[in-house]
Amino acid sequence: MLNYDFDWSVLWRAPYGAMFARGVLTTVHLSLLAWLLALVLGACVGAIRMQPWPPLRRLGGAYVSLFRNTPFLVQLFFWYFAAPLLLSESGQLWLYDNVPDYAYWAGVLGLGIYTASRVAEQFRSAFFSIPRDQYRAAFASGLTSIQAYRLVLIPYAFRLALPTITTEFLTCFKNSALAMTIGVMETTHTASHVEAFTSHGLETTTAASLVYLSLAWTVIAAMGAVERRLRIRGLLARRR
Amino acid sequence: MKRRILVIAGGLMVLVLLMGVAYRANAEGILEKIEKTGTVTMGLREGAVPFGFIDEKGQWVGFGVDLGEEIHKALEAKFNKPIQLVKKPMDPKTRIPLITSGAIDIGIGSTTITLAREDVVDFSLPYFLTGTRLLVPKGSPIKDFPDLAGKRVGMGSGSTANINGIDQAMAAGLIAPPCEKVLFDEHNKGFLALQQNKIHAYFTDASMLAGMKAKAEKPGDWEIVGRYLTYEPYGILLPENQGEWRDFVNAALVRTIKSGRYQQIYDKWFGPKGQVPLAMSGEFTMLLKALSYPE
Repeated sequence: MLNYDFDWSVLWRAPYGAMFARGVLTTVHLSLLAWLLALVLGACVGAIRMQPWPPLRRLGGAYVSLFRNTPFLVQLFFWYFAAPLLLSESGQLWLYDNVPDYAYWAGVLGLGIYTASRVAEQFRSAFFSIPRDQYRAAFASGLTSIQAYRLVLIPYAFRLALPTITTEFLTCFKNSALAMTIGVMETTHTASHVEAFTSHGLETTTAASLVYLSLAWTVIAAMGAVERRLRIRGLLARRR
Repeated sequence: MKRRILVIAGGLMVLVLLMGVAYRANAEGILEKIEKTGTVTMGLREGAVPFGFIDEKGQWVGFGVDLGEEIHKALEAKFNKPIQLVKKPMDPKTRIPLITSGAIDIGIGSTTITLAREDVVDFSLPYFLTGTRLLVPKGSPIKDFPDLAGKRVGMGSGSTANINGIDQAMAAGLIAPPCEKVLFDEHNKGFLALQQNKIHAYFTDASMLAGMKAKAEKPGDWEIVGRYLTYEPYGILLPENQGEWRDFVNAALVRTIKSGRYQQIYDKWFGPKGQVPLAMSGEFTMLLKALSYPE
């Protein structure tokens, strides 16, 4: 016996339709910005961890172990509640008055920095999984160290890392839902907000799930296209 | 592709079915169920001083807990046997689903009776009356709602009655230009943001604000300002179509008020020596008189 009247119109009727549209849009640009940060920062940290100079390597290692081994939720709270306290009181006031929607930027920063720690590891493991022969062959052909990395090893590692990087990209979208805990009105927060007003949680939750599902498909399709485009015949030709 | 669609459709159906089970309604009367099983499951607030919270000794106490104890006693008197009281935490987000799913038989928190909520749950008689006001740092230029123009104002994202109230005030031009609403999933997070100057004021029921103020490190640093923007009558949450159970809860409530026990409980929490000193307004006193139904 189901004692529940479905009313799917809560997803589009005013004012909820506009709320959902804004929420989905927020999820998309928050995640994309965070992803951009994660890629750049992750590549840098991954590269630092490959350097021959130990202090630099240790710095990269410290970054990864700090941000990969603490809960993302705690990190979000840190960026939203605690990090601004490091500024002076007037600095804090300036921040809140001049940065519109500080919670949003704390979310971008937190998600980007967290994801970067994971991306860095993917890059590093990709470098390590390049067969030693490739290094030797590159140097044996008379390439300098920089040339060997630029022409042989980085393109190779990037292709090796792509599938796992795709997974990180998907996770980045899904993790963005946690930004609701610091008040960002993204998809999940909007769904629970509309539920609070309408008591139609089944519909809003289903809609939110479908949003994440379609975002994931889009990312998979896009990354698949990237993978196909960058494919080098004979190198990673293990596709069906 | 076709297979993929089938898999997804199947997955979604399982999801909906699982959720459907969670929303299963109680077919039998709750009073019979309580008599049969000898237990009553009660939803209470965990972090709302003084309605329901964990005190320094780790005890689950509060105004709602004491009121629930009165209803528990009335149940034991009715069935003439010990009834086990099972307490479950609820918050503004979970309270309605907990009731509609049948996970709790009764929810005593700080729930405003609204017509929208009446569509999905039932309420007891209103047993508490408060109104929405503002919490600001002492000496703040914000003295009343019009001063909120262009400011950042925090509120609870589950407190729909509050949000509707401030939306109406902005639509009516009381706050112009409109203020920016900053939503928090818990009041205490909003208060933390207020302490950190992330927002200029926090907006919710005066009774709740008084609790936040009392819990602050230095209560003297904060003041509650502004007119009552809306009246918020609280009701006990009950499942839909449980007339006998609702009658029983209402009768227990009326007898608690008439016997003077209600006043004792109120004074214990809201009296001058209570956790959250909050004088009973004239309207509130009148409400209690109106509820003193004859036997």
